[in-house]
Amino acid sequence: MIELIYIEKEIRKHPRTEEILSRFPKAKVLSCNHYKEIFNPSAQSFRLQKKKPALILARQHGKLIHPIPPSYGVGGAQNYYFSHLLNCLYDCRYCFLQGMYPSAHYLLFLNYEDFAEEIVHASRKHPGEESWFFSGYDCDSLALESVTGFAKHFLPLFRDLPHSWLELRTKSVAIRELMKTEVLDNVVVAFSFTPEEISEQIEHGVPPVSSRIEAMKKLARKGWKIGLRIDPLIDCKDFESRYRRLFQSIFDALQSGSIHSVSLGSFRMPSGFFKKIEKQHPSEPLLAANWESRKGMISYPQETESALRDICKNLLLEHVPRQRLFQCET
Amino acid sequence: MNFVIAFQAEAKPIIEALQLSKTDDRLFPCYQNERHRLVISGLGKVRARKAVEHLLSQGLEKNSCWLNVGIAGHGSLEVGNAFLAAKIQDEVGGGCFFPPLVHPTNLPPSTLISCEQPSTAYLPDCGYDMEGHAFYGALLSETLREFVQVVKIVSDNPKSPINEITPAKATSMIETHVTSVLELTGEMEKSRAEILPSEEVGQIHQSLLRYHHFSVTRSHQLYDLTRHVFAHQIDPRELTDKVRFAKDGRDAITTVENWLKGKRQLR
Repeated sequence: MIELIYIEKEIRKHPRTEEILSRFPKAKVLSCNHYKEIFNPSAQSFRLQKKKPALILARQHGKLIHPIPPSYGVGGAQNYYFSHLLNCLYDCRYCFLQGMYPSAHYLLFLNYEDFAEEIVHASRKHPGEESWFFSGYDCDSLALESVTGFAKHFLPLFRDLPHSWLELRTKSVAIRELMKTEVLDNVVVAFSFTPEEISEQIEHGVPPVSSRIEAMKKLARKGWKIGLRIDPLIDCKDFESRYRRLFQSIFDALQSGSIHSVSLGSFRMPSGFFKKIEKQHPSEPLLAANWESRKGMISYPQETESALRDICKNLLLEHVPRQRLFQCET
Repeated sequence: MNFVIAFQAEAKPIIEALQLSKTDDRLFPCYQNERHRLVISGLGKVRARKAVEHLLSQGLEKNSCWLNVGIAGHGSLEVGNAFLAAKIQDEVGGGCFFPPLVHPTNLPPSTLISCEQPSTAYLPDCGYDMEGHAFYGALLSETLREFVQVVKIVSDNPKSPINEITPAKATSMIETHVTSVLELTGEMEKSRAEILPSEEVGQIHQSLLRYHHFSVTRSHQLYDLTRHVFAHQIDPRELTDKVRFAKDGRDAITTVENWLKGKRQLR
């Protein structure tokens, strides 16, 4: 899978580097002074690199956890996101990463201990309040678990932080680590979905909806709390019937009690990112939809957006209580 | 596809394989056919950069592809082996380049160090040439990094010294790898075609511009609308009718926008 690995000289001897390298004995390894030499230069083609991404192993410096946008939470008082990995195994045509990063290489920050330290510090800053830590904004939390060992490292951390929550957001079915780990009540495994017909068109490389539901079912049976992220909502033919079928399949497989939260998110993307993605994929139907620019963000026209959200909200309320339903807005 | 090659002896197998004809350029010996250009740069960084600039000055298409081919020393590879530069260092500073290696190829990747003078110091896993870094650097703002690659064939190593190389040997070494080199350039061209805007969209857009006067902004809008028509696989003849029967450029844009509104949903 990975044929080329770039490693910052600083972390060449890091035990996690050695561990990852042992998984790719045939990969060519090249050293660099800083990941930015490879990841940041302009005039790279995200689209072409997506066909054969390399792995960059680096150390992340500076602030490692960040506050999430105000309406993105699922009920917690303090909300942060953190990214041990930039870029994703999958290739979803609506993904903002294509517009945000100049490179499609997987950039893995190996200094998990530094992330953990900041998480612990932030958790202790607000005693008595629940702090949430969201992983999976800039990558899929689980898809590259066999390479990163991310869940394996961070789950034990949250065992010792009972007032803090971890959300692992994913479209993956790589649940082996979770299946062999003792269930933690403060961890939510959040799966994002679009209906199968949409997923097939625009979520390239993502496992079929049915496989993801099956993975979710296994985790729920084991006792893991499940999150559903219906985000972004995609306007399509037969919108209502497709989303109805999707929700029906999900709730047929899961008992309502195992659902921690459901969130709905409209499509929204900074105009600059959208333009970059459009350039990369000029013949992509999704990007030729009825988009509107509002306050520097590309989204569906207000009327369409509200209609899509209301339809899904009503469909979801047939399955989950109102207090578990959240809406992400920008 | 543009080739920059230091010596005639190194270029010979590629000129022959692609059946390139000599042009009447005076600054550098140049060869070309319909789809390829090749310049013989001469030895070293300055010449390599100037040769790139020479080709650029001839007005190339957007996101053109470039390859520097030649012989090089190497600290580990056997003489006669070829490699693709994955990291290009300058011996005396000047930064380090990492050409993204996205094209399918059987050429193994290696580090390449570009030197001022022929080098007899051979670090393990490192290749040595005199042009690669300058060649890559000269193209940074000219095309996508994926479309600039450097292929070297090992002519000398710690066991086989540099002074044993002859022009005939250089030709023969490159000749052995012409197929791999041309396979790589084929892949580069394929990738380029993949990301270029559709010719069909451009042609229809041009034909629509004939019906009315369009300001620069409206012309861009019309191009995007044409692209959207193709993205949704709508018959472009319908678009042509909408534009043709509009009152003017402004009306054409409004008419097409309104017409498309109901057709833009994902299937």
